[in-house]
Amino acid sequence: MIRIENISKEFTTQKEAFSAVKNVSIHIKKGDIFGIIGLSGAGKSTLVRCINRLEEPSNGHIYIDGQDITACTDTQLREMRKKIGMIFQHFHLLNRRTVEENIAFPLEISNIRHKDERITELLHLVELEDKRNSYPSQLSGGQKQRVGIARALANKPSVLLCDEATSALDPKTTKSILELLKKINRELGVTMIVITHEMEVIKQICNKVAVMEGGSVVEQGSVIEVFTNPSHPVTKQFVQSVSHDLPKSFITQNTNQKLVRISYQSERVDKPLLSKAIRKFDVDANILLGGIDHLNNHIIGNLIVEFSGEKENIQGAIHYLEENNVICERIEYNE
Amino acid sequence: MNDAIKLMMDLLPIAMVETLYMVFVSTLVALIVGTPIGVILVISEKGGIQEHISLNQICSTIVNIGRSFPFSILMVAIIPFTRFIVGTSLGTTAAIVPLSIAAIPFVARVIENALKEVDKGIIEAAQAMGATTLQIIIKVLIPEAMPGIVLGITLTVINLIGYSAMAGLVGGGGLGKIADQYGYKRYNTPIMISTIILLVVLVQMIQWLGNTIAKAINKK
Repeated sequence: MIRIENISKEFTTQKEAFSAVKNVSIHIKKGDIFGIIGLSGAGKSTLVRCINRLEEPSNGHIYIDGQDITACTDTQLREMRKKIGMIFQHFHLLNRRTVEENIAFPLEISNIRHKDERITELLHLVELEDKRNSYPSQLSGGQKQRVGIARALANKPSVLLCDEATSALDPKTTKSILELLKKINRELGVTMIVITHEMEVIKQICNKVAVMEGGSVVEQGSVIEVFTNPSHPVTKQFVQSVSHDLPKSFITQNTNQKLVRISYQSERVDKPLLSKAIRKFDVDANILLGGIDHLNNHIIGNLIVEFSGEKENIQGAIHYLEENNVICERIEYNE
Repeated sequence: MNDAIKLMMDLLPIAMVETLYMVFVSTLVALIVGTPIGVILVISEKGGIQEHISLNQICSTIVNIGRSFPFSILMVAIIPFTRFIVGTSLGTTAAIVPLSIAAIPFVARVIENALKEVDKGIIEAAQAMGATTLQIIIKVLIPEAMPGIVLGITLTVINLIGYSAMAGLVGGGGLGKIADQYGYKRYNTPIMISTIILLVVLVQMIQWLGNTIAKAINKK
């Protein structure tokens, strides 16, 4: 569907060259909601803007349905852009057009007649039928983004680029916008690329994720993989930002105890692995914290357990759990 | 006293119409020629939607040259050109030529400033939707900048009222000519004061009209 191959982007100022995106390759399948997460300045926004060439990549190719957008002429590019919707953090609606006229804008550009019908359809999709004749200044942030979404979908694109689309919204509105995006993905089959700095967004709607830092992708895979077994420090940080965590003061020094974070997926919950481990290795397990996360119909459990007992026995218990595909991560005691 | 009022009634309405005629036509000409220049200044600048640095510099230089002439000097300097266009350098119609020429670079800058106020993100959104440069100019830049453009045109019109009075001193018509010939040269103080009052009222009305329209069409 979308193949990003070795994309780099350098910005040259008078003094120095700065590479915002370094040799990034990502493959996105049709129907994916692909999240790209990173801190500000990680290059995620620049990368997504390369996809519709709002930013000209310095190197590399991007194939959309097999067509190389980086090799397009201006005319071809404009035609391709009509099939790539985009929504923005600050909505970028036309202030002097009503909701209806804003949604009509891309249709005007494509010279489509019978706009009214399509507009009604889109207003129904984003649940804004009653705001048809309002101006953007009369709308709330969430409503503005709904107009943005309707506008982006007007030309029936196959791809929707979401550049920090919920970052300017409050948590409740964010949730409703994400649900709308999910619905559009499910019902219209629109492939989505979601740029965000919030793990919560990835958790709620994405099935794949790439983590970016310093212009490079440091980790990518299915959200469940990355969520349960983050390998890069930045990824770990993001995962922790949404998982339940122990206050630092709880972590005390004790040689006969070991603090372990245990993560498991829904398929493993039918076996009483923890109690088996306790009995088998003669250790005590004190569950300090526990929580369950939903990720795209998958359930991921998270426990923080304090094992106490003989050192070898604790090792054995942890090893036993790991053998049974439970992910154990040791939490180091504070010095 | 009656004679003085009669004289005023004879002179002032016609002079008012002449002033409005000069200002209206030269504003129109300046908008027709100046708007494209203002648009070019914005789209061709660095990072503009149709970047073209040398074209930008050429336009900018021409505009600056045009704006460096004091109106009184421009008016006499282009007399041969005025004769070529209108056939004479005297009268109300002839005054339209220097007025237009003075207003073109002014309008170009006014339009440029108004267009620059349009949020870059909105332009980018239009680009992302596959709009052509022309579509962006006509459907995004100019409509979004309209409140600013209206205020800029108001500024231009008021400026031209001032210039048109100046034109009245050297053969142009309108309120400036009456103020000079009757008020100044013949010591007719009532006429002098009347023309001033008329000019003040005219400027106030135009500014009020401009503000009202700009406010009504601003949807921010």
